[in-house]
This record gives sequence, C-alpha cells and structure tokens, in this order.
Amino acid sequence: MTRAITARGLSRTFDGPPTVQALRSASLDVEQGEKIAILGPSGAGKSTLLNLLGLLDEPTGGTFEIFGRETTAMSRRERDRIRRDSIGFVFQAYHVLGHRTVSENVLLKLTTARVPAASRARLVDDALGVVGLADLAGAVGRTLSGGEKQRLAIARAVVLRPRIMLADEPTGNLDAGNADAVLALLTDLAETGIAVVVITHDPRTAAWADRVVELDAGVLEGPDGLA
Amino acid sequence: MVWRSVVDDLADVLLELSARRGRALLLMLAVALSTGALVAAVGVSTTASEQISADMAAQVLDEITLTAPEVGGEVESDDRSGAAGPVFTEGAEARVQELDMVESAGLRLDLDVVDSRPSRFETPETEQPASAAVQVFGATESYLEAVSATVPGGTAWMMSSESPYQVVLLGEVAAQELGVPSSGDLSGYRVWVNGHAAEVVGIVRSGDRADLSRAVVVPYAEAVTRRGDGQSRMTVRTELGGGGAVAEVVRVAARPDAPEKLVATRIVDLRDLRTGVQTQLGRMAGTVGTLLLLLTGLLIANSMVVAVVSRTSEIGLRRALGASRAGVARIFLLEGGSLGLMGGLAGGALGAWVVVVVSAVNGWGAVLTGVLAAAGPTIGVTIGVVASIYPSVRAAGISPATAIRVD
Repeated sequence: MTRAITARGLSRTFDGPPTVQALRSASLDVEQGEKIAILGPSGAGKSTLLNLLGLLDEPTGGTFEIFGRETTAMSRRERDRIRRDSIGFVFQAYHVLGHRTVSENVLLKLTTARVPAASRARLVDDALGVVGLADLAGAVGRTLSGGEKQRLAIARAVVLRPRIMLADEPTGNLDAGNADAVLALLTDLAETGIAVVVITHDPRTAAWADRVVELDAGVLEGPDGLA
Repeated sequence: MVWRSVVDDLADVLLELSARRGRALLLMLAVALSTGALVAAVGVSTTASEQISADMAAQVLDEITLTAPEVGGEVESDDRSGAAGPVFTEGAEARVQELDMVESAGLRLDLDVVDSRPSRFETPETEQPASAAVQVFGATESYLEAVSATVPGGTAWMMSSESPYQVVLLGEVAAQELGVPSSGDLSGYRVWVNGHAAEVVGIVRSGDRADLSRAVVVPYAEAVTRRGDGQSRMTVRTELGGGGAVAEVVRVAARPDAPEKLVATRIVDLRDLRTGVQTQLGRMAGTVGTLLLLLTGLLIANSMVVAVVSRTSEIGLRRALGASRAGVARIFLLEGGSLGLMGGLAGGALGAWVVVVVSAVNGWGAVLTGVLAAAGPTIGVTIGVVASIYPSVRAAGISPATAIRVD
C-alpha cells in the first residue's frame, strides 16, 4: 500500500529580518488510515509543518511526497489540483462563511472543484449526514455553535472524500463533549482509509492518536518520528 | 466547462454581493450616477447641439432666393411672350438692395444648354459640347457680386440687365470646353450662343457661394429676351444674422404690387457649424463624464481593496479548498464587473430619463441613439472590471498559508 505522506529533511526558513527557521529538517511518514498527532508548544512550528503537508506553503529544503509523488518540484497549478482533490483541511477557527447557509458552505468545496451540478446536492446531503448536520442544512453559518461549526468544517473537508485530512487544533475551541464528537468523526474517517494528521497541544487529543510526534523549536522528535 | 466555471463563479459572486448588500448598493449607485451622468451629458449635448444648429439655421442664414412660386415645382412656366407679366418688375433689384441689412441682390435666369447651342463656331452641330459640360445663364452684375464671383475689372457692368452689348463671360471649364484660353488676352475670341455671336470679355472665377466654372454667362436682359423671366431667380445676400428679418419683407420690396407672386427661400449651409457644435459639446460632456468615471473607478478599486483585506481569511479558505490564484482573481474581477454591469444598466436608464426630461422641459426633440443606450452597461462593466484588476491581482498574490491564519 502506498504511503500517504513521506517527508524527508523538510525545512522552512522565513526571510527576515530577522530570519526565522520555523522547521528544521523534519522527516515524517504517515500511512493510509493512520491517525497522527503532532504535539508541541506554541511557536514550535506545528502550523508551518501543517501548511507544508497541505501544500499551502513550499519548503526551503528537503523533499515531500504525497502517495509517492514528489511535490516540491511541481508547478503551482499541479499543487492546487492535489490540494483540491486529495487533501481536506479542518481549522481551529472553523473558517465557516457566516453569511452562507450550511449547505452553501459545503457547496463551496464542490464549486471550487468543478463538480458537475447534478451530483452536488447528493454529495452535500451525504457529507452533512456524516457529521450529523442534515437538519441544519438551511441554517446560516453565523447562527451555529462552535461544535456545529467544527462539524460543518469537517463536512466541507470530507465532501469529496480526500485521502489526507489535516486538522489544525480541531478541538481547541470546543468543550469536552464537542471535542469528543469531533475526534469520533475523525476516527471514523481514518477507518475508511483516510490519513489523519492532527496538530494539537491538547494531551487528550494526543492520547486519541495512533502515534504522537513531538515538535519543538522546529525540530521533529520522539520515538514515533524519524528525526 | 469554462462557461460552467464562470456560471459557478458568478453565482458565488452574487451570494457574496447579497451578503453585503449595503456596500454593493452603494457601489452600484456610484457607477449608476457616473455612467448616468455621462450618458445624460452626451445625450443632452447631442440633443442641444441639434437644437442649437436648428436655431442658428433660422438666425444665421445670410442668403435668400426669390422665385416665382412654380419654379422648382412640378409646373414650370416657359412664358416667352410675357403675357402673364414679368415675375420681377423693373427696379426690383434696386428696391431689394435698398433694404436694411441687404448686401447685394441680383437676378439670374438659366437657359437650356441644348437650345442655346454654345459654340466657338457659327454652325455648331459638329462641335456641340456635352450638355453637362457647360451651363448657360443670364446674370446681372449684382448677381455676380451676390455669389462672390470674381470678374475681370470693367466687364461686370456689361452683364447689367440694361446692357445692349453682345458679350459673354466664361467659367474656366466652360472656356476649356469651348476652346477659349482661361487666361491671357481674350481679344478677338467669340462664342456663339443662340445663334448670335458674343465677345468673350473675361473669365469668371467662382466664389464661395456658387460654382461658376462651367458657366457661360450672358447679360440677364438677353436671357429674358430668349425665355421670358418666368424662371428667373433673385439671389439676395444679407449681413450675417439678417436673413430672417430680410426674408420677411423681401417679397414686398421686389414686388410691391403683388408680393404673393414670389416665394422667398432661405438658404444656409450649417453642416460645418452643426458638426462643430456637436464636437465641442461632445468633448465637454465626454470630459466631465470621463472624470466622473475615473473617480468611480477609484472608488470601486478602493472598495475592492478593502474587500480583499477584509476577506483575506476567506481567500485563504478558498486556496485551501483548492482554488488557484487565477480562480481567486476571477472572483474579484467578476464581482467588479457585476457591480459595474448593474450600476451601468441603472445609469443608462437614468441618463436616458434625464435626456427625455430635459428635452421635454426645453421643448426639444430628444436624441437617443442605440449606441448611447448601450453605453451605460458597457461603460459600467468596463470600469468595474478595470477597477478590479489591481485588487484581483492583490488577492491572487496573498499567500494561502498566511491568509488561512487570519481570523
């Protein structure tokens, strides 16, 4: 089975002044269906790593493969396509468009991916059903609770069945009950073969993962990492 | 595939615009006002220039033609006998010339070129010039003055209606046709008109009032003798602006006994003047409208830049969902274009309404062309898209990794 993520010596330096080396030669393997938690304090480089894994940013060093395809030499258009078709994002701040309905928020992913109009309604219904928001399909985003917004973000991320799910502090703004519900959803996704990478500094979320990798001052460490 | 993308993006843009109705309405209002002002300015200036030129045509004319009523109509008189009496009685020229504001007035009577048989030789059958090549008419000295013709010194008086001389003046082309030199000494040159020899006394040069290059000009009295004066016409030159007033009284002056036997026709060529008026008013309207459009463009651009900044997080989300840089730019270009189109449609309607109202208030005939009607939405879309280029480029250039972290 092809590995979902293969990162070797990944580095990211931001030009200054002052110059900041946010990530130093990080190496990481993630298998399909695996749940990985990247643990670390604020400023450790967790979001930088997530942006690189999600092709939102380009490394200044190292190599990075997604399902065996080297991405660092790819064109911007090709990286956009992989991000669109293979990667789902969930953010701590949800990024729910408050003036749009729940359905329209999910639909945004489908129109961005140029999914034929005939199949959009079914895909939206399916995704909302998975996260338990089918009854709120017509509700406006800004009226949702934090937990509902995070479930909506997950529905938007999974509506096209990505092969990799990247979540940045997905439970950071949630109470314990909603956090458990979100983690349960992510577990369900992993069981369908999706590789789930969660960035967190929450020990409970770390305990949920199959494997924990610690990141400190831009260096990936720990028995489960390759550094 | 491409049109479906555009339709999706357009639906997306309309969702965003409906979510920010206040901003969208204000921007549309700005576009509507500026395009409406441009359309109205151009429309009103076009209407006004038409009206101005019409008014000027009434006031600025400086040439009047007096004829018998049937001349130029279907019924033409060729009364050689003069049984019905002359059209222009004795002293008509002098009476008209005495009117205030009249600069000159003279009589002309066209003769049939075939009947006149102008030729260098007494037996012209073999040398008959083409009828289109020359025109034969009788004219008084005052007529030549009225049409600003240049006549060799000391010869114009010979054309006077009282002249007993058998003389002729030739235009340059007519001289060439008849084998007479158009310059130099013309002594001894004669041409035959109506079977009578006439001395060529000079070459007449056209002024700015009539083309005399093909003219064979005989004394007016001689022409009347041939044909009667039923087809005669008197050309009256007035001071600039005096045409309207002179036209009111000229018939009475020419025929105090029976002014109803004459028709006064005002002649004026204001095509250049009308074009000038339209051009000047058009430039003024265009300048004002263009300045308004530039201001509106800046307003849209500024508003769109603010929108890009305020929607940075959304831009990050779109990039995370897989939107390309071009896709993000397209959203903002479409937004600007949509605002421009809707504002332009409203502005076009507003401008047309203003033209109609202004015309109605002033009693003018409104001039609204199809081009003017299409100008509103066309200009609106253009200004909307152009003003959105910079904000779009700026939006497309935002790093998704940075944008996604903006709350």
